[in-house]
Amino acid sequence: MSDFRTRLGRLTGQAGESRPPAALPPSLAERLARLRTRAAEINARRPIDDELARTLGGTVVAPALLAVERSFSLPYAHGETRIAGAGTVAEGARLSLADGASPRAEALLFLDTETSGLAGGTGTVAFVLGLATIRDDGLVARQLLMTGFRGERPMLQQLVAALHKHRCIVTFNGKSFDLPLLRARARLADLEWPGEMPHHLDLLHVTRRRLREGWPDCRLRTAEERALGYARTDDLPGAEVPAAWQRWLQRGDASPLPRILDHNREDLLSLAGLLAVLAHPTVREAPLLHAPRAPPIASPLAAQYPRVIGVRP
Amino acid sequence: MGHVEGALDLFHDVDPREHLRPPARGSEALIETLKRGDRPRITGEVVVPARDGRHADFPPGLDPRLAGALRERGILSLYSHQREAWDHVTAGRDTVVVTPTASGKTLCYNLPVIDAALKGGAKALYLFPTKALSQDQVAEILELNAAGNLGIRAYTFDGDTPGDARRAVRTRGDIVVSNPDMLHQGILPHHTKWAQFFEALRFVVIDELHTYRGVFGSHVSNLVRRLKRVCRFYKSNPVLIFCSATIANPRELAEKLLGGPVAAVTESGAPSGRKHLLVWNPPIVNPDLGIRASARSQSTRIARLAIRMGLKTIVFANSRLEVEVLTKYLKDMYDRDPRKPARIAAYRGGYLPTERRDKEAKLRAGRLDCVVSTSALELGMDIGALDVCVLNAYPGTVAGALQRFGRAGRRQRTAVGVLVCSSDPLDQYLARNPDFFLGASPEHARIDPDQLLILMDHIRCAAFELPFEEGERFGGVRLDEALAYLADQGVVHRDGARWHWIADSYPANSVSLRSIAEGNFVVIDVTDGRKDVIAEVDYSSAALTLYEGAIYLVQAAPWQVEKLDWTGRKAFVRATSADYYTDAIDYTKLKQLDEFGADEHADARAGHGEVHVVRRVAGYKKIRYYTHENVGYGQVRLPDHEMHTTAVWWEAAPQALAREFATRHDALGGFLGAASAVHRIAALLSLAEPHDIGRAVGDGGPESVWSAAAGADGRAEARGLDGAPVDVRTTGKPFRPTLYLYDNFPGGIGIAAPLFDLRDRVLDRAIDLVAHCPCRHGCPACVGPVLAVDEQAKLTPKAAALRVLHLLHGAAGKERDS
Repeated sequence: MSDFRTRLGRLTGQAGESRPPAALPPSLAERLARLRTRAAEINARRPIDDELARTLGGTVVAPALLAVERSFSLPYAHGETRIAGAGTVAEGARLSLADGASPRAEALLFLDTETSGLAGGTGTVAFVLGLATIRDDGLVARQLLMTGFRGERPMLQQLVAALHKHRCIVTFNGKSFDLPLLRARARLADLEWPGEMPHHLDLLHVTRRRLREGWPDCRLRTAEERALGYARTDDLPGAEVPAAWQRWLQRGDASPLPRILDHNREDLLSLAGLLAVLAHPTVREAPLLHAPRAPPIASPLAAQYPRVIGVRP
Repeated sequence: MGHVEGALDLFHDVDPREHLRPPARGSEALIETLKRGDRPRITGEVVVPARDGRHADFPPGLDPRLAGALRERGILSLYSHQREAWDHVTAGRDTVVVTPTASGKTLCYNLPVIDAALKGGAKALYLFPTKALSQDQVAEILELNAAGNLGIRAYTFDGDTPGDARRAVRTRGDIVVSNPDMLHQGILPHHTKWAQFFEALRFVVIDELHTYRGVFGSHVSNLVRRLKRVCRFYKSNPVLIFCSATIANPRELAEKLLGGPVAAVTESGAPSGRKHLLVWNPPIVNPDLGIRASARSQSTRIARLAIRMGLKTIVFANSRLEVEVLTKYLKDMYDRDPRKPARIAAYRGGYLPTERRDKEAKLRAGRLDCVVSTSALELGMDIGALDVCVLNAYPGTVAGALQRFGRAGRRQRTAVGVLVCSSDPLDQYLARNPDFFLGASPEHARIDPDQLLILMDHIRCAAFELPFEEGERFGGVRLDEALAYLADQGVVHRDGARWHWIADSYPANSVSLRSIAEGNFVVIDVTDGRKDVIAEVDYSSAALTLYEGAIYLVQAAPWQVEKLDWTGRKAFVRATSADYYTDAIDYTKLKQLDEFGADEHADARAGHGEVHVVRRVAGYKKIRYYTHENVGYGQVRLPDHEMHTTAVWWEAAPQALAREFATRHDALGGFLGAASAVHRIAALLSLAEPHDIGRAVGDGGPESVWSAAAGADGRAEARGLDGAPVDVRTTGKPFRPTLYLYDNFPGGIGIAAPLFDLRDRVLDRAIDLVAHCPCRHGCPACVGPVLAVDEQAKLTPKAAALRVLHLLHGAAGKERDS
């Protein structure tokens, strides 16, 4: 009997990716040897956490887990939208939770993740967890980046702590994507999920109800352009995120990581901006707060970013 | 089939004597009537005597609430096999229960499951191969529930479960009834949502085990590995309970599926009435052409007779269309008055669930006289007691036929089962050899869980569900090799001592349990601007059935393939009224890679092992119906189909061939005819669909240079793989034609090795098939289509095939004596 790789090569060779016999896959021994060399190379090339943290302007908070924090003093201009100061967000939002109470701005937790894929299920991992909070007239975006799977558990522990601390989370499509995914990963990591979850304001649903009339779709990118008057420049398309994460893991290529963090930070800012727009007293009367002055949706950016409802079941 | 039916005059050809005599009553009278008449139509008969029930008390530990519910439903004691199953299962042993139809098998698992749920929140997962069976099961549990006010929550979970109900099923269900496909794509990849359920999971029930064979069975075996792996994560270790209809090797199948020892309960304690089984061959209506009356007309007659005698009857047919036609014929006679409630009903897939439920209820209540069904009623489903079962053509396996016959049976009177043979070669073989069927032990069901492609599919899925730990085991290949391979492909990543899934995909979505990996072809009807999908064809048979110009038959209705989009896996067809069908001319070249075993005698050698198969479809023949004359030829351009798989082969010694055949060309023709017969018998013996097995005649040995097929003119010809004709007289190497049967699935699914073990039986029966075929020169029923000119030949195709078969068997010269 031939070895595993040869057998599989023969089988898959016929299975469509027809390969000439001359290009039969290398033997197991060859391949293992190559793998070992490569692993050594990758480890030599892969920046260690400290070095990466310095590059990204962050800190190492646990093995294989970095935190990058940025503050934006309020009010902050995000496109044509002013993200107002702490008090006004909550007041202006006239945010009313299910129990009737209005949360203080400090009680809000903006949340957005970058993931290894969009498929959902237990095998999809969130490797960037972006959390933004409002304190002392500033918007603080704290991003946790896993540099390896060992970092996942401490990252999720921080998430669980934050969920305990805040009364309301604000997401865009988090109800069906980010939160179920994080919860599944927490279960895999054997972490206890909060028995009582904070309230959850999913802006996708609110946006769809109040703003979307006349829009071609309800992606976050569309909402930015139409409702916030904000167009991203040099944004990493969301569709490229999974491949960038794989490149980092497999080849130690750290180059896309800063752009992934930027992308995620933009998402967090847009969450806050969108909340401000939705909170504006005129929204109910005039569903289109901003007439479509930004280039309409032909923008490739919007097209490439499929993380909106409707793509997934 | 029009003129055949006409020849018998379907509606008026009732034996005149039946009119003279008042209908006798009872199944004995039916048998007596069937046996009358001058022409021998019954070719085989067997009587299975009645058997008394063996009973056992309720087990001492049975929850009193459950015992009460059973008594409420009139169950005062158990059958011995139910009690035996209880004892095994409650002792924590994985168990397989083999039960004939209607022997109360569901209690074998419902008792321990409900008992444990009542006593302490134990949960159970039931898997049935179809949704309809799942719904039945839930209905049954709910009835028991209601009888004892037990408060057990049983839910189905499948593609039809609405989104908002899913959460309730996951968190509140005591018994979740689902199917393997849903477990594979919907439950395991989202197991964290089911955490509560898995933590409390104590039992997994896999019913209709016998349906999990071949590729499907191999997939399900790997699914069980994944299920057990997820259970380990939640620290549960459920007991598995399998139920199977009668197959030869239920315990072996269950152990393979599970990968561990299984206790077997094989003696049914349920009483059964006397059974009288008959094999019925329709009379010859055209002696010149040897054409028999259609099975359909005969089944209709037998059913009508039975209904007239007041016997509750079920007719099984092998296609939905056949069901509809038979139903119409019976309704034309018995349901002519629309004011009266219908006495005849059809039952098949494709009906709405409510309609099926309605039919089942009417059957149970005895309000229908006859039901005509596809295999849909072969499994599970309680439809009450019936007197007569008519099989309109052989269902393909002994196990399936017995299962269907099991539908008829009552305690007090004799049940009658009639197999009505069709004109299909297999059916005609059974008609001539009824013992094969009536005296048969049922087939062995085979699976190969470690089939490499299937295994790798499931290792992907498993890696998605949970990271693999170093040293973890899963199936028969070393995981470090498999995982290193997947890491190479960029789908898993090693971090410390764990392998994590990192790809942006959901692997279960690209793995279908019911077909092979290459992607099915859809057949799209474009007649009159339509765009309807009318069929799916699996990858391995697409090249043989969907080439441009092919006549593709759906329920005997012809469509012509206009365009084949090979990469898009689509065939566009248009309805046609051609009076011919098409048969692909394909050249299959095999190269022996590795011989696992061999056996030889002076004249021939048999072996089995790994082979490389290259199949090219070069063209096709147009063959007119009934006359089988060749009315045209077309060319086909399709990519070669390459495959590495397992095979069994027979090779004749050159000197023996030279002794037996005047020319090499004669020998080649004999090999092709022999291959046709051997192929049919092999499918019969190995519980496989004929297309699960491929056949080829080629140059023996590792350095194969030619393969043979019937060419455009119907004569045997050898070609090299480039398609150019090869003159076998001048190949410059010994002439060693070899007959191959190969496993028509990449990597093989375990059919070849058992066929090697059965090699003598295969040849015995193939000789039988050819020698006792009533044709004179050879015919499609034995050696394949025969040319008129060959009928004049000195050595007829039939004689040549027999000579080859005897040669391979080591009994050359014998055919001249017989």
